[in-house]
Amino acid sequence: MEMSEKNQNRPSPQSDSSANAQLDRLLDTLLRQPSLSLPEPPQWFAARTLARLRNDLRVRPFALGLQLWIDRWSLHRLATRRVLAAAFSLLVLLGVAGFHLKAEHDNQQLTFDALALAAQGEAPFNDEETPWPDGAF
Amino acid sequence: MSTERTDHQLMAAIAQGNKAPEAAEAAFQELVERHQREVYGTIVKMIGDYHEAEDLAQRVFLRVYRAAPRYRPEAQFTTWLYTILRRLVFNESERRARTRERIVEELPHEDGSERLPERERPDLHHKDPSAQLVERERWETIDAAIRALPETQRLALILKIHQDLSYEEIAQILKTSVSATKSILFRAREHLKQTLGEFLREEK
Repeated sequence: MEMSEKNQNRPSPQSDSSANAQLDRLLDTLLRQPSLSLPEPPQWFAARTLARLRNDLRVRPFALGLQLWIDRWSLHRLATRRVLAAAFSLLVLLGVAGFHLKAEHDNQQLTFDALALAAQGEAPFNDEETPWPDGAF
Repeated sequence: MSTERTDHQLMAAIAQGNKAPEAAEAAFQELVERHQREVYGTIVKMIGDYHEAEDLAQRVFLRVYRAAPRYRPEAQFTTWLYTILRRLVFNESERRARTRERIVEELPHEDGSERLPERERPDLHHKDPSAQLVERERWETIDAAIRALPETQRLALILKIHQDLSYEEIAQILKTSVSATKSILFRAREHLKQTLGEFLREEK
């Protein structure tokens, strides 16, 4: 008896879903009412935005020019950036290798010069082995 | 024959800004005039602050100008526009959260609720004072409930209700899937039904 009373008081699943659907419809109606519509921008909004753009273009022409240049060359694309990074790394590597080669070449040149002097019977210049002549100062 | 240019044509003209600056400015102005209501209104609904909304809406359009050379007319222009808007508004919210500023400028009200300045409410002054009061209360309750939603749910709901965008478009703007968008909107509605439960039952 008690159970049947409880069951009578409890809302059925059908009434639950219908109440929910009713709430949904009501919510839709409320959300779409005119007083909740999007507010209008101030009358001068477009003019102000244009003025702000002109100001930006005047104040920061370099930044904008750079950006346009970057855009034009599609530097924003990841692939292009990677290619540029790889090219830059290669350039650095070539620079370092070139520096080492130059140093090596200079060393070899010094050795050849020393050998040439030795062949002519002259000792290569050496601060320690060649004392200053007397009365040099 | 209509001479009105499409959004894509206007963007193409703006992209030529370095070659033809005057034509680009004219195209930009046309584009702003065409979309200002949606952009400004959505931002007001999102952040609840008119001054901040004006600044942010202008920044949206400035970003459109700067990004014009990168623009590809593959999807709807509005989807791209709202993506820029979403990034700016969400970034602004994050910035404010970091600096512990409040997103919504709350004005004290007699009953302790929040409300926006008067210019938000259209058509109220045409009604008699008691009707105005009822309408205002109703408006404030619903608007406060919307503003209390998490920002992704709020933006999805605004785009659905006020812009009538499709699930696919909203999904693109929110950078998520269509099913996730439906879930976001469902949660937003459930949130609102919970918050406005009593109010909705009174309205029945």
